[in-house]
Amino acid sequence: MTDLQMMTPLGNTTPAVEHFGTTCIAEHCVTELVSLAARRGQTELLQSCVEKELGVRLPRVGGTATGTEVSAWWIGPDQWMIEARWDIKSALAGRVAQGIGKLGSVVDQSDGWVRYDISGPEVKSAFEKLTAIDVQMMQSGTVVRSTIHHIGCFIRCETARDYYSIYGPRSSAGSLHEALIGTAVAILPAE
Amino acid sequence: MIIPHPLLGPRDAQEFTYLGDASLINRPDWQSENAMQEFHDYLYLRDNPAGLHRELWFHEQGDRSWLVVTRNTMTHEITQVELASDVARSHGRSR
Repeated sequence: MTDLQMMTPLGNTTPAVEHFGTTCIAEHCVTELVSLAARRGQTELLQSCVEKELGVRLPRVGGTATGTEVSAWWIGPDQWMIEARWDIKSALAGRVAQGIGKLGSVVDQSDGWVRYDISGPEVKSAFEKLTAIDVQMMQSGTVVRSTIHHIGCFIRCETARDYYSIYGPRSSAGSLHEALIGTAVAILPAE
Repeated sequence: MIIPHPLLGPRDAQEFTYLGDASLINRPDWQSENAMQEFHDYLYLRDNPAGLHRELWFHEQGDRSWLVVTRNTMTHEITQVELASDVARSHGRSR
């Protein structure tokens, strides 16, 4: 059988990791993503099913929830995104679909998104130039969707004022990366 | 302009796209006796008030919800924002 090698969203064989002073911008590509929408009036039942199957309680507006295998975040009214590490090989979409039956709709989003992790004590200065969202006020475990250089992105706050994940459309991976790197270069000296 | 989203709080108007008059929710019944006249009015007749106006906005770069925003067209003051799904259901429009 052909030995296939995974390509990162930026088109390389290994994820890009760059340091600017104390700030690190890292491409993160070993995740499986699934979006989930509850059918009308089935939200509570769906939440119980997902909790039973995956061990996370689907979060409220603007929240994230992290379990041992997967993490989930709110993307809209009665809609969530669920992320699992690729190496678990959980076939997440099928597993969620089977777990919830007709309570909701599931879409595999795995190759639709690129994730960049931005970390470091100076990271808030970068966000001040990148987005209209007041990232400095975000608490750990919250998420917003807004734009970065006209690209619709989720900004997930893992640790307030220190560690954020940005999810953007994979087809704009290069443009988003350029925006992040350009901003980092503008405000922070490269090592 | 800042739009106070009912779920997410104040958000920049740049994240939204504008559709038009909120009366677009009230689509006529295509099986009614005078459907032709009703659809003509629905499609072509709009009020153009100088003052309070209820209009549909889509939070495209946010949570993708449709909102009914009550805005003063002279001052841009926003006095009420509701989820369009709630408005539609209150009109008996939901399936």
